[in-house]
Amino acid sequence: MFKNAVFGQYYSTDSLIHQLDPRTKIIGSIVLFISFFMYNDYRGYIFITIVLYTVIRVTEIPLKYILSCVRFVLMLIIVTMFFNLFFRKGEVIFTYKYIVFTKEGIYAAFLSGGRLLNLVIGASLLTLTTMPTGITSGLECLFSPLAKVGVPVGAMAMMISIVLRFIPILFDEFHNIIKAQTVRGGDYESKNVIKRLKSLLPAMLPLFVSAFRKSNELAVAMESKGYQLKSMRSKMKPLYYLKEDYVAFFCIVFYFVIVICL
Amino acid sequence: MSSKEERNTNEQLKKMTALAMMSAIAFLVVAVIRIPVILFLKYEPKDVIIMLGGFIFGPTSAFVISLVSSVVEMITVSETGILGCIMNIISSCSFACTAAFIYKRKKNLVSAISGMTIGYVFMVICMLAWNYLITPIYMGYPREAVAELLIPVFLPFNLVKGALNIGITMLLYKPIIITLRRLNLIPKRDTAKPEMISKKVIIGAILLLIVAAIALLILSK
Repeated sequence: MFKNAVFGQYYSTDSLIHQLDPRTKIIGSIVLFISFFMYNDYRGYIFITIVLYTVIRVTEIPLKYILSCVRFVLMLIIVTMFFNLFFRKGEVIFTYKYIVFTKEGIYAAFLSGGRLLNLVIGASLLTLTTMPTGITSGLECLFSPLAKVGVPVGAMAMMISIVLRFIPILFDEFHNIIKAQTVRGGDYESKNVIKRLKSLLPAMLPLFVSAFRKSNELAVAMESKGYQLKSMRSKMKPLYYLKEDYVAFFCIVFYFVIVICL
Repeated sequence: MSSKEERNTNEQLKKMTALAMMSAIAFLVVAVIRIPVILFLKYEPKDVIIMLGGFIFGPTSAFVISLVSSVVEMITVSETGILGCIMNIISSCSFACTAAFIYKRKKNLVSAISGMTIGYVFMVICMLAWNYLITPIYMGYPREAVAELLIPVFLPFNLVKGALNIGITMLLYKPIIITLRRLNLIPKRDTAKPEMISKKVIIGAILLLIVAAIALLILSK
């Protein structure tokens, strides 16, 4: 999973949404994100669920795959539902020993559970349909006005690209170090948290040294190729707005208006 | 371009790649070492790396590392989206930036420990406040329920997390810094380091956060 950080959670299909400009998708997902917090009853909930389902169908990613991606937050959803179930006061439906089930509680539990599930799916849609490099250049474009007040947006985007590039390399490095230390008697499988943390030091030290060596080499390589922090850089894959993007923007605005009206 | 300026760019570039590497290590640490504590709260020693970055390069660098690694997490493996990313940044920064700021003014063991302690307290307060603000919106709990959860769940979790962070940082800092200095991989203690972001921007960002918090409070009433 982490070995291919360059691909992230990207799921490749040829759908319309995959071909959209990353900027459009970022704005779309922010709008989607805001819209989750705008409704308070079941009507908005059903509407948003239908929209989300339609979007998933358009992306041609199997629903099963998306659900398998969000299984890590299942615990969170269950806890949320649990707390909503028991912390609401209202009309009592039935009691079982000390536990009181109220109408409002059950309603709130389903609403919040569904909302959280929607939220998580909505958040992962962006990463499923866009490569991390695409999101990075999209973010760079969207935040470029901040460069005027002194925020080094270009340098930040460059750093994100470097991180994405070097995660697999450092990952391999880290595994090798762990193996080498295990051979020398290091304990990395122990259930004891203290023991595991103690064995961290002999693994972190070589990792830091090799990472800093790599970073210095990278700096020299970048400088010799003429990279400068404050200069304008052209892109290998510049972003263009196409007809589809305008249509998508129209859809996003339309959707947002409906959510506000609802 | 004068030679001094040229050296400056070189230093800046070196610092940028080093910060990027530290972000990569922070990401790696999150991916490899995850210790579940209670409920959905997990301990990850990411703040340790950010703290080390803050001690080596200064408070703004700690901010940059936490920002970059959180964004990378958001666009690759995270499921909680933008809100999770923001919470991540706030939690790391309130701890690491405070401590690094205090350490930067006077570089010795006492100020390092006092800085980390102040950062620790600050982080706990920050996290309690933001959990109180955001969790009701995010999960749809009633606010009273979250208020009841704050003391038994969020407070001990953040206390344990912060204490572990301080402990591991103390353990790692000296050996790592000595090794790196000896290998000439980081600049010696007394060289002036160019900052990537001006102080105004940082102050602006903090003000923005405070305004956002107040707005949230008013909106959720």
